[in-house]
Amino acid sequence: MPDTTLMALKAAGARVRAEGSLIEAGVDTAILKRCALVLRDAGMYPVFMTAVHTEAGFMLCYQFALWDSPCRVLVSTPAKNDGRAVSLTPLFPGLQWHEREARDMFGIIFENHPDLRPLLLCDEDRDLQPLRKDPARLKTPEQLTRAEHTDPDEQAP
Amino acid sequence: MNGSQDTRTFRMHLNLGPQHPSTHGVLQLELEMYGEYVLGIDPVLGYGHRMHEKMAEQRPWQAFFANTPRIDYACGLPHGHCYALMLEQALQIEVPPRALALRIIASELNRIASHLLWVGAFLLDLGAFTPILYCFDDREQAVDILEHMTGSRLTHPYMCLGGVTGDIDEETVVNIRAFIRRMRSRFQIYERLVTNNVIFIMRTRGVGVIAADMARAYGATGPVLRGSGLSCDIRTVAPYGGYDGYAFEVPTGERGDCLDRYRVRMEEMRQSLNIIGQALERLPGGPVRAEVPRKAAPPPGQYSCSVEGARGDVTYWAVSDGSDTPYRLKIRSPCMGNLSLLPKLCRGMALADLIATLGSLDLVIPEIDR
Amino acid sequence: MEIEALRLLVSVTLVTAFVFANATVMGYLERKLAGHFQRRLGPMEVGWHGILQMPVDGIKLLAKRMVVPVQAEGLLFRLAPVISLSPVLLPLIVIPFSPVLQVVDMQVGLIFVLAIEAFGTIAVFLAGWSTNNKYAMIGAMRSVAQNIAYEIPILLVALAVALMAGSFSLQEIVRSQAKLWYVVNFQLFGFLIYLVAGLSECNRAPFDLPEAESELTAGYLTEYSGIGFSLFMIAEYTHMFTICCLATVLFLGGWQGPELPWQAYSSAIWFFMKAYALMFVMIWVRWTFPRVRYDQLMKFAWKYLIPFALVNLLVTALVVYL
Repeated sequence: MPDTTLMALKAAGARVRAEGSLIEAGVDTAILKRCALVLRDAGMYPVFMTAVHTEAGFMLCYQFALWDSPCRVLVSTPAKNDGRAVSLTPLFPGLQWHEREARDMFGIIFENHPDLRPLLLCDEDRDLQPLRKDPARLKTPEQLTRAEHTDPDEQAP
Repeated sequence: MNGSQDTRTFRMHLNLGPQHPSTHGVLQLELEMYGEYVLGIDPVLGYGHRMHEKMAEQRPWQAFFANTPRIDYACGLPHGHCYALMLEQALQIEVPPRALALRIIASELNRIASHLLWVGAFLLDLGAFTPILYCFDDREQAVDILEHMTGSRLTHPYMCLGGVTGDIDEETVVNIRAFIRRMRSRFQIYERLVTNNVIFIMRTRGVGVIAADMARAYGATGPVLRGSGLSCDIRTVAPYGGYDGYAFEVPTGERGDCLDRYRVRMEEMRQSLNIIGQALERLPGGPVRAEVPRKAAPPPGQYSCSVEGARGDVTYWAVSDGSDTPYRLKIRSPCMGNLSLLPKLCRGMALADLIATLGSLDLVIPEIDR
Repeated sequence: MEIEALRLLVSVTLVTAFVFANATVMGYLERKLAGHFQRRLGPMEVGWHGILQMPVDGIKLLAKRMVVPVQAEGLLFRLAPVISLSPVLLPLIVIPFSPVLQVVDMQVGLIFVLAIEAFGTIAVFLAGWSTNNKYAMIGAMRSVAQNIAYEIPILLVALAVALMAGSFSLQEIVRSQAKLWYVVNFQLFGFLIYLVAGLSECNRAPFDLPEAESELTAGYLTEYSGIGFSLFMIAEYTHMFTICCLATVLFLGGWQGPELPWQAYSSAIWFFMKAYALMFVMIWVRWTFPRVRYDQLMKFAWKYLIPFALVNLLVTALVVYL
């Protein structure tokens, strides 16, 4: 199962690295939906969606898993420079609340999201964006990548 | 809340508020009702939001172990287990076999305690006042043993980097064996009082049917997904922490209604007893904690680990920048996936069925809120 | 005539006093039994084994202020508890506790009891309506439909017993069971139907939807406190007592039992033993079963109980004819 998924992801244009049953895929914004379709057709369920605040902007990270095999796919993609991103809720309804939470915590606006109200924060704090970091503490994506991984998985496009 | 009510028809807006005898934790459901039937639900979350993920970014890696049992307080050990496994993977630390077995024993005891709590609370929602006291009686034995092992009855400070915080003595082993024997004999009480109770079956059979595809699309895992027929248990699909050495079955349901989820959890308790028995029989000697560095500083990169909690797939994902505090820690709560399918599921349900379905999802809301 | 009037006055006062005493005893019994069913002890602190718990609770409730919510209909809100007590107290004046201990022996005693009990529905509905609270209103609506539906089986089985006894007078019905109680005399089915329907009339679990705690936060009782709440509770226990008394009279032979000295008065002991045994069963059932859902409740009444009660009536009519 992982092999076909791997090949389909590569065919869609992702930069893929597999370590046993964990597949890490770096994806550009343009092909995110295509890759998500591949994963959905492979029968994966959405585990989570979140973001990391780096010096190069927000890095969106998704994880998907198969219910009957240990395969897990970690997809990372950079958000657009103005903090907007494409919503994957139409493909995976389970990501709806995760995207709402990402908006609460980081201020990322998801296009085509059915309902982007605050999930965990109250209405007064909707623009608090607590998980953003101070500029002094931001790291570049290279500083967050494993030294032995030379392919640019977590780098901004 | 607006009391909007159309007096010509029976539409009204009802607030199943954050304080309510039957919501588990602080969950507010805003209901659009037509008489007795629910037209739409809007869950309002965030009452238990404690910013665990932000806290993780501000303290050393090892200090976060104190937070892990408090995220899901009903079954906190799997969270600690997950975090520990993730760190050990990152730091390439090998956990001694005795610690692996003790972790499994503690996690399974916690699973049993959590499921017992759920059975009692579920039946309380349905109007049966007696089973919860029987469940708490049994739970008391499990919690007492956990207190001896870990030092605490509810939020157990047991998992730590490299193993567990303390060893168990012979008396605890004897107590655990006695607990297994007693618990096995108690299941027939639950069979007679609850499982074969005609009113209970009337209230749960065919109620809240979740199709397997819907469950997967919403990321619902654990007994919710297993009740819908898919045998998806991380302990067998992707074994971790020594689980591949144990023989146990993964119960599944057929229809995905509340009765199936109830049966799955009852059977899971039996299987947990099997696992604990096997772990005790082959409990190896040796240390209970590996040598670990004073300050854990995983090399830069992202790390992920998943375990099977009582409610489903618990996944921790961390990004490290090489320093001794995490750069980002993401805690994936299984209850979030389980609850997110409720608005779609409950259109057209009667209020009583909504309460039964909500109860059968086994939610701990502060886990969603973190 | 004066003596008769005096006797009536004294006996009505005694019955009323008994009703309040009964509520106290039953409240205590319920809590103690609930405790023992749930592997705990129940009230133990106040008095020996908690025996003073109910009087103390009663004093506490009386001392609390009855809070009338601003949006509630003041007069109706205050009236509802009183109205709930009357229809459950009145039937007790025709119940024969012993051959002479009966306030009034009406020729149509049975019809009187059944007619007056129907008023209880109004009180519940009034309480829910005047509270002006959505939860209470849902509880009230459920209760009205439930009470109406379950009165019919009670009427039908009572009619079957009246057919066998040949009279509507409750004393006559008891006397006609001198040889064999009706519960074994072709009315076992009727007895079971009566018990189930009676449980539902009292709004007791498993039919306690109007006060479904985990769904409606006490339903029609939500906004009541202090004396209003205690009157509703007393009314509920009295209603249970009335249902059980009627069951004893109709099916279990009333005061019939082995000979005792001062038979005319002391056979009341047999009566109370039977009535309290039935109440013990009612309490037992409450703490054992979960609650049925509303539509299941209605289906059960209209599709099962009423047809069975009708069949019971027909069979009884046949037996009496032959």
